[in-house]
Amino acid sequence: MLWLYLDFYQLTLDALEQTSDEKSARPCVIYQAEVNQIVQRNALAKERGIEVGMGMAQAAALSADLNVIDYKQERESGHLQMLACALYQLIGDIVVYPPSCLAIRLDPSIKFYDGLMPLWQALVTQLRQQKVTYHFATGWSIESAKVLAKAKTNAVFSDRSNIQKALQYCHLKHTDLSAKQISSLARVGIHTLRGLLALPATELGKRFDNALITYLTALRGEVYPHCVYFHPAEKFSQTIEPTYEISHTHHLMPWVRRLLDQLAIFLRLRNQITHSLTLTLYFREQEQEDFEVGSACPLSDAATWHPLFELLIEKLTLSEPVTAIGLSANTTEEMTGENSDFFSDRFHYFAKMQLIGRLQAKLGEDNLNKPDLTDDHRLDVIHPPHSARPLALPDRWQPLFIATNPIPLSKPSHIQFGPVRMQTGWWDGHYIKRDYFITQSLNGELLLIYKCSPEAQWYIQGWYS
Amino acid sequence: MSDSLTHLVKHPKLWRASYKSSVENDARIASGFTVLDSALNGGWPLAGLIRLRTLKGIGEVKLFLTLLQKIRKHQLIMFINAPGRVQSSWLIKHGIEAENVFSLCGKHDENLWAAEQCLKSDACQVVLLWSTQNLSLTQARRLQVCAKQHQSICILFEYQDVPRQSLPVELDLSIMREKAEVIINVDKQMGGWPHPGLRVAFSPNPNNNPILSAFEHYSQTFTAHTKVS
Repeated sequence: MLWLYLDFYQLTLDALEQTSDEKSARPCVIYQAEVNQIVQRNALAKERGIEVGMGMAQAAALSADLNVIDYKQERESGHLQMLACALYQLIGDIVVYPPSCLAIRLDPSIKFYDGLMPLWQALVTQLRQQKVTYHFATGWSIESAKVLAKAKTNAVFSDRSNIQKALQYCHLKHTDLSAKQISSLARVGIHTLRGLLALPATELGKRFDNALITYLTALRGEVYPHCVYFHPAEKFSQTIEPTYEISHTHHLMPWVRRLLDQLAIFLRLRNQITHSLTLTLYFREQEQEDFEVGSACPLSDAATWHPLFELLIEKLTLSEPVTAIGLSANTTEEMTGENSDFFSDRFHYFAKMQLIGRLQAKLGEDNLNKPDLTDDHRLDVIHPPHSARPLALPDRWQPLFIATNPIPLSKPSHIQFGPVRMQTGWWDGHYIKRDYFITQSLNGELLLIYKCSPEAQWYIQGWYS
Repeated sequence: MSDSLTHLVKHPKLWRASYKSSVENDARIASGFTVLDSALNGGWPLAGLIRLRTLKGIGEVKLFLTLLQKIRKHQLIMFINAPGRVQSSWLIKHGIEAENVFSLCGKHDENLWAAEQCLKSDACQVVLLWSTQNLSLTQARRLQVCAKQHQSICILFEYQDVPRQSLPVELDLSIMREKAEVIINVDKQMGGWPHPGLRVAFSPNPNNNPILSAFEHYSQTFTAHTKVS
């Protein structure tokens, strides 16, 4: 057996950052009042020197404009359920450990994906889409994978010897042993799993209870695990609890959009459609309110539902801040030949993920790219994927292909279009001042060329293919 | 028919010039150019390997624009070993969903492997493959069979400095550009005759002609004006 353990150590924070924009970024911490500890903190808070485990007073002293959000276990479990739903499209054997961990059994699916690495890549791609951060590891049992993940191993092992080797060096504090057991083991000089696993079970049995022995056999992978696998619900009904209260209606839409995307995947996997959805808004004091959104013809994809919800939310007035948002599908029906052209419009979500995973595993992640999507007029500035938005009005004269490095122009060519002067970038250190022209060479090749000043060298920037 | 001849007819690498095996061969996508459509029996084939011998930047991808625009919803378009980074603004301008486009590059063998995987996958309908060296007969045949079986299209772009070799393809084209016109030679096609020298006028880029014509127009009115006064 091969298990993967994923530890989403800052799930509440990740869920929050998905919907917030970068401009208003502030140091932010998730604070658990019961133990007076910071449990999660974002990068900005880390820069200020705030660490996980600090008290509130110390954190507040380090940063004046700290955004403090209360930790709620149910909220984090809700986010975890959504993650499990998303991963369920790729792999069936998922065990949910609320509030923030997932165990996934990999070995039955390896054959299906043509190897462990393509499977892992497919999972990574899905997790990246969900924008979550996590520690992970594989092991021969849930317990062993858990220990390795808690120790932040972040590696996918496939053979037993490597797992064994990695386990040996794990400190006992990463295991499920109680603090009392760890300290009594420390007193006899046992700090890592190497020492503990070397002890015979009979000796341990004399000094410790049965639970520890059971745990150790599970850690060694000697027993068959008893666990309840995750099954998505029959009927779609999900609730998101944002980490802040929403008092403006336009802040509702990003959350609704997330729910609609979830709904689309849910329906698509079951080959179902629906013509009526219920949006529920939960308020702090008042009773919850239900809004029904209907469509004349049954729909399944999120894009067609978006405008309907936008219309609804536009005319809403919120009497009180919203604390949670729920979405449920009222009646679903099977997609049949009459209500949709099933074969010509088939969405092979799984096939797509499988293909991308396989290509990434073989060629390396860096070699598979999406087209440049930038909010910048400069052609050689490459933004990291997912961060940039497209220009509202794309530059209509741009070519299909852009050279990674501009090439000096060596052949004579005739100007067809231009000049387009580009003078920008003074704010980020990549200042450019260039005059762009489109030219045609004697062979008929259409090139995008530029030069920086009248006497400078011409460079080829792109091709009109 | 003699036994030896039946044998030949069944050989997978041989076909009759007028051979049309089934309905799938008839499914075509109009290319948007009347001359080309009539030469190609209705337009681009919907499955198989198309080879295009070309230069870099003469509108060679834009020639297949209708094919890229009319793919099934949510299907992927894969650029393999393209000559540069693919710009999403170009895709948006032509109504192609940038979300469904991927580009990848690797070594020659890896590219061919990737092309084959994409053609076989249900998620990918069009593969655009740039090759810097000759494909062997087997490699081309593999791509052709994969594409045919999975109803996908592989367009192989081959630059004209690569020596030409005969390959078992669905459609074999070569193009040249003369100013605003493109000359298309249909060198070989399954179930049809070669058509050399088809002239098609299209330009993949904006030009200064609107400015120049406006300039001309206003300078004429200006001179007319001065004459009157």
